[in-house]
Order: sequence, then C-alpha cells, then structure tokens
Amino acid sequence: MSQSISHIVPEIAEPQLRRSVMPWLALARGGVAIGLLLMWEAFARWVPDLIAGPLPTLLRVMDLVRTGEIVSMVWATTLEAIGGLLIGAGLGVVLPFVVQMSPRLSAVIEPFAKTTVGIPKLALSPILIMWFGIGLTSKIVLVALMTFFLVFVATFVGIRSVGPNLIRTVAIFGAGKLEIAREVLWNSSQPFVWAALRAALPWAINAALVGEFLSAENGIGYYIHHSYNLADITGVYAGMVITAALVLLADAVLRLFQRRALAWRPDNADQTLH
Amino acid sequence: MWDRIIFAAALAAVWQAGSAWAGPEQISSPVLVVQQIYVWIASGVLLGHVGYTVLEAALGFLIGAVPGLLLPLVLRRHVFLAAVLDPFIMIGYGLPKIAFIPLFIVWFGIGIWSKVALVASVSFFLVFFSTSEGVRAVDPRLLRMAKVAGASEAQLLRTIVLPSATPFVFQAVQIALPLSIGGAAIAELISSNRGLGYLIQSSAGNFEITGALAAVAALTLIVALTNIAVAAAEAQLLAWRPQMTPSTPKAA
Repeated sequence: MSQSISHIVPEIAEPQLRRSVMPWLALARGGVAIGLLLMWEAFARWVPDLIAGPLPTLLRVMDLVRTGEIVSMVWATTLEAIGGLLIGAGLGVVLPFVVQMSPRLSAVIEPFAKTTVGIPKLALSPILIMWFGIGLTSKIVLVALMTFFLVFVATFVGIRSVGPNLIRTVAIFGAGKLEIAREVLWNSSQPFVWAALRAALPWAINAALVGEFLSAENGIGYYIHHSYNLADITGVYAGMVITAALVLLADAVLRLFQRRALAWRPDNADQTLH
Repeated sequence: MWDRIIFAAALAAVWQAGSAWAGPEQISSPVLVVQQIYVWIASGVLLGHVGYTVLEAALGFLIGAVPGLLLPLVLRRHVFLAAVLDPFIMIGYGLPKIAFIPLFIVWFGIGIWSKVALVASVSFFLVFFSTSEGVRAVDPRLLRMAKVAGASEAQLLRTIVLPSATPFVFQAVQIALPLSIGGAAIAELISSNRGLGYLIQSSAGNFEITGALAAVAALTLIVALTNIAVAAAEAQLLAWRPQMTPSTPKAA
C-alpha cells in the first residue's frame, strides 16, 4: 500500500537527549548555522564568478523589497502555485470519493493513476506552453497537473485504508453511501490528504518556477532566469533565497492548518505518510 | 482486466478522434507518436538521448543515495550530533531543488554534471530521511540481545540494523529513482544539448508537438521500467520478510 504514495513528508524526530544538554544543543545548532554562513562567504570569495556572498545577496533582496519588485514577482508565482494547487488538489481530493462509489471503476482507474504518477509532469511544460501560451494559464495547468496526481493517489489510499468493519457497522446503522463517504471516509482520509497537500506544496512552487524558467513575463522564476542570462549571479542568488523563503513559509502555514484540521484526532494517531 | 483494456483503448480513441477534429499540428495523435518513436528508434536517435538522461540519473542517484544511506548508520551512534544536524537537513530537504536548477547550471555548467548534482541533491535527502526512520524503527530488544551476546557495532549494523531498515530504504528508492530520471530531464529542458529533456524542449521549440509528446512518452516508459525493476529487486531482497509494509498507517 505504501508503494502507491509517491512522497515523503519528514518530521523532526524528538531527540532522545537529557534535559541538561539542551542548551548545548541550541548552541551547537547556532554554531553550525554560523559555520555554514562562513562557508558560504568563503566560497563566495574563492569563486566570485559562481557564488554571490550572503551579504550581497541579502542587500539585493532588500533592494527588491525597497523597489517593490519583489511584490509583483512573488505575487505572480504565488498566484500560479495557488491557482494550480486549488484546481489540482481540489480535483485530487474530490475525484477519489466519486471513484470509490464504484468498485469496478476503482479497479479500472488504479493502474492508470499509478502510471500517470510516474510521468514526469514537469517535462510536459514545453508542450503546455505551446498549448496555453507563455502567460499565467500554462503555469496554472502545469501546477494543477503536478499536484493532482499526488493528492489523488494519497486520498485514494486514505479511503482504502478504512477498515471494512467500520463501514459495515455504519451501514448497518442505516448510513447511505453519501453519509459513509462524508462521515467515515472523509474523516479517515484527512491525515492522508494533509500529508499529500504538504508534499504537493513545494512541487506546486517548483512547477511554477520551471514554467517561468522556460518562458514567462513575470515571477520569481523569470527573475532568476533573467538574471542568469545577464550573468548577474547576485540576482540568481536573491531569487533562490526568495524561493526558499516562500517554500518554507508556505509549508509552515500549511502545517498550522494541518494541525488545526487534525486537532480532533488523538495525538498518537497523528501520523505522517511515508 | 478487460475493463482496463477498454478504458485504455477508449482514451486512445478519444485522443485520435480529437486529433482528426482539431488537426494533428495541435494535439498530435497516438498513431503519430508511436510512428515518431519508431522512427527515432530505427535511426538510433532515441537511444543516444535515453542513454544520456539515464546516465545522469544513475550517477546522480549513486552520488546522493550512498551518503544518504550511510549517514544515518553513522548518526545512529551519535545522538547529539544527529539532533544538531536535524533541522539543517530538514531545511535542506524542504528547499525546492528543481527551482535551484539555474544555480546548479551556474556551478557545474550546462553539461552532465549540473544534472548529476541536481539528482544527487534530490536523492540524498529522500534516502537519508527514509533510512533514518528505518534505523529508528529497529527493534531495540534485538539490539540489546545482540549486544549481550557480544556483537560489535559492525555486526549489529550488518545483521540487524541494515536488514530491518531495508524496506525503508526501498521506499525511498521507489520515490527517488523516478524523481531522479524526471529531475535530470527537467534540468535538460532548461539548458542542455542532449538527453530526453532536450529532445522535448527542442521539439517544442520547433512546434513539433508529436516529437515532444513522443519524448515524454519515452521518458514515461523508462520511469515505468525503472519502477518494475525496483519492485523486482525489492521482492528479491525482502523475500525473507513476512508479508508486511514498512509503514502501515497506525490509525487506519
């Protein structure tokens, strides 16, 4: 069963350490962070053509903030990612409930769903750009395609993870197919859906960026690619930092929603999918 | 079974009919795509591009997965170090590697190594996380028992930790290998002069939808073949295990 889920959402393991070493832990983490920054700076001095240092990168990001350029490019990318995610993940959550109504249909769909998960969807981006133009639409379609299959398969698996006993019991009490879907399947598949959403989110942003690399008029990916073409390494780095911040922030927000949505579950049932 | 064949045939028929209606320049057709693949195979073009992409994916996967596999085994004994590194590896995992392709190209050029680096960075984190989890999931009673019996760390790793982590490793491989091939192709889309991704991009650049779709089909086929190979290898290596999956949901 686990094979059909095509992603991993890692969680930090609770460190099995004594309380007394905790301050040391924080100190050591800080040390590693500073060490990494110093390494970045050292590399930047060593090969300035290939690597922009942390300080110039930060200054560039602040420049972009001051001129307001950052708003329009983050907005464009976010719009593509969220638009595509809403369509792709929305269909990915809803369709499995439709499909599961008929066991025969599920049996037919399953191998196709698994195969299509394997298609590198991002590789379709040049084709999508030909079909939908270089504007927003082609990126939204790309993001939707990318996220749909992730969420569809996870939801499908979530629905199938429900034990037949529960369903039969509820049916004996007189629940119809719709009520079973709403009360039993929907609730049981929640953790799967949320894990899939968290896995899909970085892919949504990735997909939007790849689309923008290939051809676009605006967006973070456009800025990165444009800077790259001008051999403006600092611009490339600034774009990367903005992307990384966007992805980490989006995941933090989604994690908050996930925790609220799953708050009703007992703690030990709060699972991640692997 | 028949249902599936009918469904597949229906999909192909709809596509073919659509192409007859809208004109093959727009959406191509299954027949044209198969023809294109055949032409490429006959002329040997396809093999060259496939080989290049697979080489990138394989090299990158090895360079990423081997440290990803070994590091958790080392960190098993160093709890403090593992706790220190944990958030950094989490962030590294969370970073959108595909979005970093231009960076890899800046560092390693438009040749094979930028793709290898991308694939390595993707597969390292996947294998690392899954293996770490496998290492944590080892039955502590077995470990204590073996220690009492005088097993060395190397013996523990070889006879207990590695075998019980193997399903987790495979889980990562199942995810990482298709991503490796796809990732290599995506990097080729953005800048390359060889490989399946290049084939897609150059066909699309010449408005040859058939060529682009044929290249995507070839890519999908390779990913599917890889999946089959991994599943076969897993069945072989895990034949000793009773039927179970590594992460059956705890709260089903």
